[in-house]
Amino acid sequence: MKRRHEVDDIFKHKLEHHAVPAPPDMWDRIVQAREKRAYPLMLPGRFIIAGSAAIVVLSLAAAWWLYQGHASAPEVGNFYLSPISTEIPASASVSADTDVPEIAQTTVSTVSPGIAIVRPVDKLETETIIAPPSIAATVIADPQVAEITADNQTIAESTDNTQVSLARNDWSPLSHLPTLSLTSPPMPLPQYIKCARFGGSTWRLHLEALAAPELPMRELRPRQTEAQTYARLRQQTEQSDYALSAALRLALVSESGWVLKTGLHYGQVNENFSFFNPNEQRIIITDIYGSDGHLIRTDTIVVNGAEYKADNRYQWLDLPVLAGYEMDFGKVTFALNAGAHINFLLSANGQFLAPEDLQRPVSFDGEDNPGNRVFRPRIGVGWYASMGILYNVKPGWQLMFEPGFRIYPRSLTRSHFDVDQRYFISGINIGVRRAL
Amino acid sequence: MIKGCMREDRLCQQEVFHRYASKMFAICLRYARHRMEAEDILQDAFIKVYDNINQFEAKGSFEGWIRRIVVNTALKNYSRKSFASEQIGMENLPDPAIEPTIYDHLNEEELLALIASLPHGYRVVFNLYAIEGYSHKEIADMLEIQESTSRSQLVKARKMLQTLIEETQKIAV
Repeated sequence: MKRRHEVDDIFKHKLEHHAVPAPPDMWDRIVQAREKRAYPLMLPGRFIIAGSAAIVVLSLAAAWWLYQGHASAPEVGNFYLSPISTEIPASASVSADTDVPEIAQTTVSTVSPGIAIVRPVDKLETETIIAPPSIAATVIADPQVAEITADNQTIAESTDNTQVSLARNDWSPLSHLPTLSLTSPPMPLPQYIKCARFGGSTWRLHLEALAAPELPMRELRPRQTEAQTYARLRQQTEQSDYALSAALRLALVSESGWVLKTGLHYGQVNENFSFFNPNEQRIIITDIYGSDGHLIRTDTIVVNGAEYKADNRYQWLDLPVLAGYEMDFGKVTFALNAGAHINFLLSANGQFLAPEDLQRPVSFDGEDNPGNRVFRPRIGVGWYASMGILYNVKPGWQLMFEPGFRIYPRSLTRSHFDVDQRYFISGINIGVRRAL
Repeated sequence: MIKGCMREDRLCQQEVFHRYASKMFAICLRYARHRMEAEDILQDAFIKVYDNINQFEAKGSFEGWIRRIVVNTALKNYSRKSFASEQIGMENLPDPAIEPTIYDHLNEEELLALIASLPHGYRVVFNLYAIEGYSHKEIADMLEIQESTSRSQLVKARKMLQTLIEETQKIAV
């Protein structure tokens, strides 16, 4: 029979059925862990899902806005409204002074009733205005011929250059329409009315310079069950400090509002590493010498515990490739952007707990030993979406205010490392845009 | 209670947890490097218990089954490197002179602290052999090491424990 060792016996006897109360929150942790696994969509990939959802929502919003704009408004420009003065009888002829400013042509389209009066304006080229469907109206302020379509009928009239002829078919709203006064000088624009513009194929180039304070959200996900402790200790010992970014972008803006952007984007996330190891003991031995140079005594100081601190820094250099749409409201422009951030350079410097030890900090920048590098040199494609407001400060210059977020689906760490490390970064870009 | 766990009955699961958590946590503390790791082992082990409870055959004791899961979970946190760091020549040291009564004065917390001060490899083998009662062959299979490695680690673990106890004895005197 195998003889048991005395040490084995004493330990077995006292520890075999020994019990230590489990942490009070342990049951809740177990339940949460099981529920979390039962719904994998709620796992840490939530940032990816949230980012994707936001991009989809933004895209749908842009598409909806575009559809609304294009469907309801044909080609419409800016025009001036005449002030209401007196009634104009149907089929009335209105004389106008011969010094009417020169215009090229005015066209009336068949749309909704309401606005049917157009007055000539200096340097106006071609305008489309809205007229009631049953009105056949001719507004002539030029010795040329004007064509008007109403009730699917085209009427061509030739008039003097001072005559305005108005006609009606069955229905005339003219009794409540304002008097057309061609003699009055052009009025200052009372209201800048903006509608969708078509046909513009001109692209303009802009340079954008932006900087942003950012809020990074980090995800540390253990690749194996055994790395859970390590991931949790990393979360506890590394705290987000601050983040920022700066970008220089070229924006190609079309007349119709579509935008393409690319450039260079720099991002930086700073974190604080702080770890106290209570098990570490440092012994400081100090020799005390007298004035004659002889050793008087030796002081031995034992310090229990050691604290480690480090500033960790992650830096990105991205090539943004963005598409967007801008809605011009005169002084203010609203913008939607979304697209890819192609990361071509990633740098990580600092310290974290050694995965194999958990009690000792190690440097992760790999400068000492490139073989130990934990982070990838680049992480490929990230995704970006933003909504922006641009304010015209002076011709060719706009102030930009662009809140947005970007997400890097690929882990910053290499595949052999114990935990995945990803970032979801939101920020508010502030900058200027200059028309080139 | 076990059948309730098989039906994913939350109350039965909670009852199992409250009945065995304290004993299992003490086991986790013996294997873990620190308390936080012990908590993680306990959490993972109970998740495995609930996930695999359908595989429990009522031939043995339920506590023994849970205990094996806890031990196996704890062992996953060890790499084979833990058994490479040996203190050469330690097994040749003479047994320290320890008064037999000193063992009686050591309480459970002190014994746990002594085990915690052992190097990883020593601690695992000592726990498995001395307390859980596994043979060297079983330990070798579980840890994928040689039987001789298991034996030598056990001897060294004992020596180190005895040395630590002797030091404790000196301090007490």
